[in-house]
Amino acid sequence: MSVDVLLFWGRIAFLAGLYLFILYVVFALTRDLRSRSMSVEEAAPGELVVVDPARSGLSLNDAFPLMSETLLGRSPDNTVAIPDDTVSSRHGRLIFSRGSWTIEDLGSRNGTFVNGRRVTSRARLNYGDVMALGGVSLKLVRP
Amino acid sequence: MISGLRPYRPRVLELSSIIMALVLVGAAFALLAGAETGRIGTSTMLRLAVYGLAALATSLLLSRLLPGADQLLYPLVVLLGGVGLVEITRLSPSLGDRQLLWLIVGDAVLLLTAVWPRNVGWLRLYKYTWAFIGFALIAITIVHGADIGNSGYRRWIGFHGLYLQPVEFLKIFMVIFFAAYLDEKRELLAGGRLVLAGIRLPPFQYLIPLLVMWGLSLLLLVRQDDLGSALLFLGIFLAMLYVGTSRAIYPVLGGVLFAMGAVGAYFVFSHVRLRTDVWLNPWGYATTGGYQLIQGLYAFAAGGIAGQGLGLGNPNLVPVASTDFIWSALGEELGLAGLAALLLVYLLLIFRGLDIAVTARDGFQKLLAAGLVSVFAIQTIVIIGGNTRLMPLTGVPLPFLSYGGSSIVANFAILGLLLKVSREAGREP
Repeated sequence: MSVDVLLFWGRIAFLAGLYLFILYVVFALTRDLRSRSMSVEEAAPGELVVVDPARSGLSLNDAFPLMSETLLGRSPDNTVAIPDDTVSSRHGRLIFSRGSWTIEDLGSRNGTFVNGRRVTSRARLNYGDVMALGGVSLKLVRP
Repeated sequence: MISGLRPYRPRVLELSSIIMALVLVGAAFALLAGAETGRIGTSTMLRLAVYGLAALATSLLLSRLLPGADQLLYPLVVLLGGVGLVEITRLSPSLGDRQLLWLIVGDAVLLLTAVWPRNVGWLRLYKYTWAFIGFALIAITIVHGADIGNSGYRRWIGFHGLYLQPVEFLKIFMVIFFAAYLDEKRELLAGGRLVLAGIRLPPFQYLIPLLVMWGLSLLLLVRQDDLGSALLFLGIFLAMLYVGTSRAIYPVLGGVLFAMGAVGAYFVFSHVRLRTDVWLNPWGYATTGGYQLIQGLYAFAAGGIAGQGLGLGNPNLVPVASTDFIWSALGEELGLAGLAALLLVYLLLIFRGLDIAVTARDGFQKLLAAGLVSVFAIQTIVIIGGNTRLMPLTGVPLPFLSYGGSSIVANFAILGLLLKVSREAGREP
């Protein structure tokens, strides 16, 4: 084969290779996206049980199932909605990661407390810990 | 999403993608050598070996330094950098070797960013320091800068024969500052109690620092006749404001203000007027201001669907093809099919970067990632749009493809920061 013919087919093969590379990356990307969207919706091991409803609309021993990322707050679009004036509309976030729970305060007005200690940004939450959002107290229990 | 993270796991996806990218870069080098000399010489092998080994070593070190960080961004960059390297080597072998050196420096900067700072959150503590350093760089350039290429403007800082373009680093400092500032004041900016002409605006005092930063950068850049960078800064600023507040009024208002400013600049600054006229009618300036643009358009036309083939076109007919007109040169030799593929690579890079922003662990890191990605996105649009006559030509480097030491180093630093953000989000791969 002459050099010209070789170069021609080489050029076509190179362009095809470029698209193969792109397909490979797109495949890896979608696989990653799909696995993540599945795990976000996955229920995580734990429940929140109301131990002090204060003046909220909740009642004692109400239990909420948790997601691996659970939003807590007054407004109804939270995963766990707590209709109480001392709770901020977007109060905090519970995250289940690498086998343990973390509570993150999202800049709430009246603060988040774990076993009576104020959470400045985020804190580890163990099963049995009592967490206070404003005046409402909730306990993390194993399901 | 986060469970089961094992540190020091080999980055299989990244390594396999890099090997694929390197095979393509090797094929491009071989095609170039075949077209030029009919055989593959030692210099070609040497260039490929140096580039490939640097990329593989970087990936292996990343698995030590940033386990769990994103594994798709770096392979995409390896491909872009490699294709750019081949095309620059084709345009000028000596320039190509310098680009190879810069790419290796870029890898080193990427690894350096992986080690320092230890966590991204640290950056926000010194937000005014970064803003100050950025402006100090620009001020030094205006006063003591060097004028390479006799453009009439001082845009480089000389240091023992090494020339740096501070604008490239200014954009990183600006993004860090904006991210820290916006995250702090987000609620205030998004809330808005001041009503002006039916539009809710935040209390004015919270907007002042932002407007000052933006105005200063624009002023410094218009003085430098660097309109591409001015456009870039405005774009970054508006994109981050939108991401931070999720209020569409900011980009809309900013766009309108910019359009008014642009029309004003058309009448005030003669260089802006010339640039616009050349854009609308390059053939009227075929031997002067429009020469470069027209040669670039002819290059696209000569490329057609599948291109002339690497080393087989005449991209050297376009002045400064290796920096501002690398897209035209690639268009001539790889054709529409090749350009579309490269555009898809940019799209994947930007998509993946925005995905990192979405999953980032806090507001600052979300804004940082989104801002850094918008640097890539806006630069790509501005220079490709300029080359293809979609918008007036403004000289900004095409990320990772264009020749340019400062640009390559700055872009690798951005890549490093994005990888760190993805690492701290604790996601895989």
